[in-house]
Amino acid sequence: MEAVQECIQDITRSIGEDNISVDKASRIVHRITHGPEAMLHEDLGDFTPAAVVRPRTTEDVVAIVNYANKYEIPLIPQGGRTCTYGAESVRDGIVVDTTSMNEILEFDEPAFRIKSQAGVRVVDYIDYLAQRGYMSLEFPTMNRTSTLGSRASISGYNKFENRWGGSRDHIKGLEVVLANGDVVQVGRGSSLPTKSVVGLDMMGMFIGSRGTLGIITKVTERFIPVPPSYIYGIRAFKTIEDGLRTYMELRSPVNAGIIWRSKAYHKWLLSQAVKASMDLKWPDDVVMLADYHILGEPEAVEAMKKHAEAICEKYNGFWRDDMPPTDFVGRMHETMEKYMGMAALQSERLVSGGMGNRIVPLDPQISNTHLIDFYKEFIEFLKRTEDGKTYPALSKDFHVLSPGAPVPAEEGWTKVWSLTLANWKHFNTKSIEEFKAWYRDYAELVWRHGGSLTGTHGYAPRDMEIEFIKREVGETGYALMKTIKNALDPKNIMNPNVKF
Amino acid sequence: MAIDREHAIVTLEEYEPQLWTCVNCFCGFCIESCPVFIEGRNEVGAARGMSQLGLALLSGELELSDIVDDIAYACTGCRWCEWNCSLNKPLFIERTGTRRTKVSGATMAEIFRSMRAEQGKVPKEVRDALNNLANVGNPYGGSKQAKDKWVADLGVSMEKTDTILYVGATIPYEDRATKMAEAIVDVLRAFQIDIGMLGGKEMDSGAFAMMMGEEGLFADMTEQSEKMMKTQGVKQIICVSPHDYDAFLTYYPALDGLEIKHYTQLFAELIDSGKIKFSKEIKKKVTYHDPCYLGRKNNIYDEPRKILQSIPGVELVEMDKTKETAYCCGGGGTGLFYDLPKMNMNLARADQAKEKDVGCMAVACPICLQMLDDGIKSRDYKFEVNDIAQLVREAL
Repeated sequence: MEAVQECIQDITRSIGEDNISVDKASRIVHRITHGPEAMLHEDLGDFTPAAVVRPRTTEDVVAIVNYANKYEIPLIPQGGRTCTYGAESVRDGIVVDTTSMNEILEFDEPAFRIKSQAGVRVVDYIDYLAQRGYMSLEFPTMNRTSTLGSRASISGYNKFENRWGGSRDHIKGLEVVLANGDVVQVGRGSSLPTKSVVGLDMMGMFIGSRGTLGIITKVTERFIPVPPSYIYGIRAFKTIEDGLRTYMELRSPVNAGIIWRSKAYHKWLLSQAVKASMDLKWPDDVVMLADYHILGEPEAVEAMKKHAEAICEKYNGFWRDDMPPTDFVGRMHETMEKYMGMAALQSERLVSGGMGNRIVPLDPQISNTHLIDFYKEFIEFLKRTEDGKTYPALSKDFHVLSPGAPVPAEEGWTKVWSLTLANWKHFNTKSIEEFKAWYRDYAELVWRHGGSLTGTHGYAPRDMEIEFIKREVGETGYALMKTIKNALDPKNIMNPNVKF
Repeated sequence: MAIDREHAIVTLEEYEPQLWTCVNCFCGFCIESCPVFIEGRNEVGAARGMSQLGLALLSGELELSDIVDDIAYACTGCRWCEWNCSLNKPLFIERTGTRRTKVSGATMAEIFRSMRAEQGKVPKEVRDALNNLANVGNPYGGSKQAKDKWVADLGVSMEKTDTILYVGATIPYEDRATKMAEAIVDVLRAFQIDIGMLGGKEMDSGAFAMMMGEEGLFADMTEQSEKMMKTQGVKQIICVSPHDYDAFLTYYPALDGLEIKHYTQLFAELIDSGKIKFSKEIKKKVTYHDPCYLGRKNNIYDEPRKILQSIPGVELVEMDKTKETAYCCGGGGTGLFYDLPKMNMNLARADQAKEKDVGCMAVACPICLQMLDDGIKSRDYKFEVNDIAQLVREAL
């Protein structure tokens, strides 16, 4: 009998046959994710696992890991599979579907800490807190199925990053099952002092590790009371410069205590948005929008609103009757993410009843110093993507949905959240080859402006990934990662196709 | 939007754009509250999973034998996925979308069932129900004469049929559903609302056949029902079952111009116009279970609540999963006839009502009535399930 089958038998005996699926249908269903990597493989068998296991407890995970270790079988942890990179399965590996570990374990109200199993969905976590008068700082677009463990695993970006930071800032503790079956507590959970003086900050190593170092089984997060007052504002601009300068000043660290979010939008996206959702034509002279969300005590919110409006006015912000009603635009973040983040627009399905498109997100992270120059050059690059001359095969099945909606990353840095759409069904050897060349051109453009490819989604074509990591962190940086990986997972069973 | 029966029937090949649309998107909105996913903890029976399986069938990677009962027969057609799907929201789809062009786990499951039916690989319970539908027009195998006699015993005219109460295929063959219809008749009679019935001439609207994946039978039944409506000179149809109400609106473009209502819409109108007046109190804490085909599928949430709130003494409380997010009773699809071991939606729904400490769970669907009554009894809970019409009659 093959090792993987023996491993599956042992796991089945340990966690029960109700918690494992080996039928082909279940295995196919768990092989891919929201990510674009699958488009670049003509045989999806590359991703088809040998089994899907559904642990309910940390003890179940320990048993699974121990057997995988014994038989040297790859383990691929999965949450909601809405991430764009790293949760695709591995041929003949075992998928660890964490979504049955879905209990909230501790709610420490005075300390603003909540401890949950890793498979708790963000949407349920948000509801749980809301029912108690609190607010989740974890707020990804894909919150309906993504899980708290996934948020840690991908180092998630959050809606109110400008004020509160990303998942790495909200997560205060993790329980992780290591490749040798040991269960380790890392971080500064509610039972430990905030300022750790005990050795190294090991939690940071697991955040963003995408299952390569262990399987996250419990997560402790912080939460906050619901702010009593909220104001949303938005203004239009006739130039990229005015729009982006407004966005950058709104999100200045001086304002970021009360302005929780600021974002800019380009007309390339807006014209498609209002057409598909409101059947309106976007005015051609309106090039950018910039918006802001102010939350806090009512007096502070009111005062900051005046300040935000003054910033918009300084850069010639306006609103006109030929633009969509502000109730639409006021809800644009939610609306756009729901309608467009999911690649609804410009897809062939809408135009001609075609096949729908797969979204390929790009998240160049650029310092504000380079933002305006980069943005203009990036738009030209994206125009070339569609012109049919530079990438003749790719351009037939690849379109630009958004040239980037700049949103705050760390202070002084911006994530240019861009979306392209690929007609996966028609991807062939030639378009895959051109896609990789196109991606390399894109990467070089980002690096030329001192940026990084790792804004949020962290996607890079798998066979280019190691080269790209080395470009960003250097040979020694990558060697250190390898050293840590080898020390924790010497048999390379933990999500082995990712990064190493 | 109504489409004719030829267009309602869709093959896996024809549905491929919607499969790709879902697989390309992968947002998972469809599985958030999918009861099949929640009950079974396996995505194979939910829309995102089924779309991948559909494509694997088309590519030849899977064979139909891989689509086992737990996949093909789990979906109850609750429309959570269809309602929540981000790719059904743009105006283009909202305006023009049909069974053929909307992303829907229900449609995927029905296509799988249809493929199984073509190969004769249908579970016995489903096959029996389908045979009965084909032979006598209802899934129970009850005779047309029995239906004629029931209508005659009620004293309702089978001759004057410009406005009819369409009782559907469960009535009078299932006791609980029958009592629901009798309550509707009693209420209408109490206020001199003139209404006829078709008796044994009435057969299933095609809803059951469609849900069970027997598309040929669906086409036959809709054609026969359409002819019969015309022959009888029907001008207005009041439906007892949300499934029939939906079928008439969705698959009968030839009936455009007829007034088609669910009985709760009629009752709400009669309350608004002051025709229905209550004389008794029902001192009960009541929760209302939204039938999937009335709520998510047809956006009728207010009328049933308006009726309940107008009954003196009734304290209406909402379950946590309510209106658009209401949990399915489990009776749609093939759920009324074919139990799958892991699918216990009616028990889960009974638990959700129990959490609210109610004295009564109100429904507006003969299928929900049966499923939830079974669920409450299986749990040995002390509260009861009643159709809205039964509560209205009690308060007259």
